[in-house]
Amino acid sequence: MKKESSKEAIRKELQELGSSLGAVDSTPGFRVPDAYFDQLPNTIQEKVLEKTSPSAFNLPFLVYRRLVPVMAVLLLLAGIAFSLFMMRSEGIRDQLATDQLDAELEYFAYRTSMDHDLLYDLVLESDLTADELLFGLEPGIAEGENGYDEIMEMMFEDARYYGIESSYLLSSLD
Amino acid sequence: MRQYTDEELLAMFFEGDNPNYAFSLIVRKYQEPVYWHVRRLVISHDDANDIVQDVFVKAWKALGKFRKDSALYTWIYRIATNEAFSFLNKKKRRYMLPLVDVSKQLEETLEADVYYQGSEMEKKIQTAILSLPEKQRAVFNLRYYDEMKYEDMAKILDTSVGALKASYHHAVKKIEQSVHGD
Repeated sequence: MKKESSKEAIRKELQELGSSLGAVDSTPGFRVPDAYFDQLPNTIQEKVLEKTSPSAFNLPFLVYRRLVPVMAVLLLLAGIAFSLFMMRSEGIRDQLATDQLDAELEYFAYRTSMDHDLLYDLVLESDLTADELLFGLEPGIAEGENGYDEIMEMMFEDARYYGIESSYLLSSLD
Repeated sequence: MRQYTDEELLAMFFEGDNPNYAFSLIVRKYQEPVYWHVRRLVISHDDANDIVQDVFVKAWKALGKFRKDSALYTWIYRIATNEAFSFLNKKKRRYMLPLVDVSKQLEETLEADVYYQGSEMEKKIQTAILSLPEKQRAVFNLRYYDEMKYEDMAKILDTSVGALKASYHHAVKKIEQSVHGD
């Protein structure tokens, strides 16, 4: 390392300034743990490798800073949507629990030779309200050709919406 | 181990087969002066240890763009000084501390540091140094402890030689007053 002056030159400069600091031993008394400087190069090498190796999360800081609030908002929206869905499902579930609707569903399943549990699940996942179901499943309407077709159409539509194959739905119908 | 010159180290890094090895030699050459420079500014060993590691990580990342007409020695010292100042500024902002309180906190760190074993006189000098403004502290340390040329200090601190001399002289007067004044 290049140095303009030895300790002597610095002392001389201090003397010229009228300071006695030049006469003091300039070792400041700081210490390091044993073998610190033997280990430091390896620690630095590891840190260099860690900081420069490609990572899945190796995004620039600014991207991170923008991504975090966006992700938080998306998570919040997803949470709200999920809560609404659960509230609605719970509402229908409660309504399905009424004896009248359950009996209607059982009857409809019997009439169409459809699996009762599958019908129950489809109704739970559908957008149909309890009133629509009760109206659609009225024996008189369901028995009539139009009523049956209407309900089947609604169910197929809902099944498509929820990604249930029409063929799977048909296979469960006799 | 043979001590390479900066020019040799840079040639090994840019033209050799193994830049990692060349960089490890740069670390070995500069780890101690950089550590002591940072340690005198931030006082705590743990803080200095973290900062020195960051200094060399930054140096590694930026060395590819290093302009060979400047000196490696002052370039590394410049990174180290900036990292230490930035650490102290963060500390100030985090605790919303005015300058006086930062000095006080550094004094407390010095008192509590198990890796500080200075004599009473050394402690007095360190305490007096800690009462100086940050940049003046760096000027005093670089001149008094590192015995650095004003021209090199000018490159590190981005200040004219005249201003550095004036700053050093002021610092010496203040320390003198503080050590012998009471």
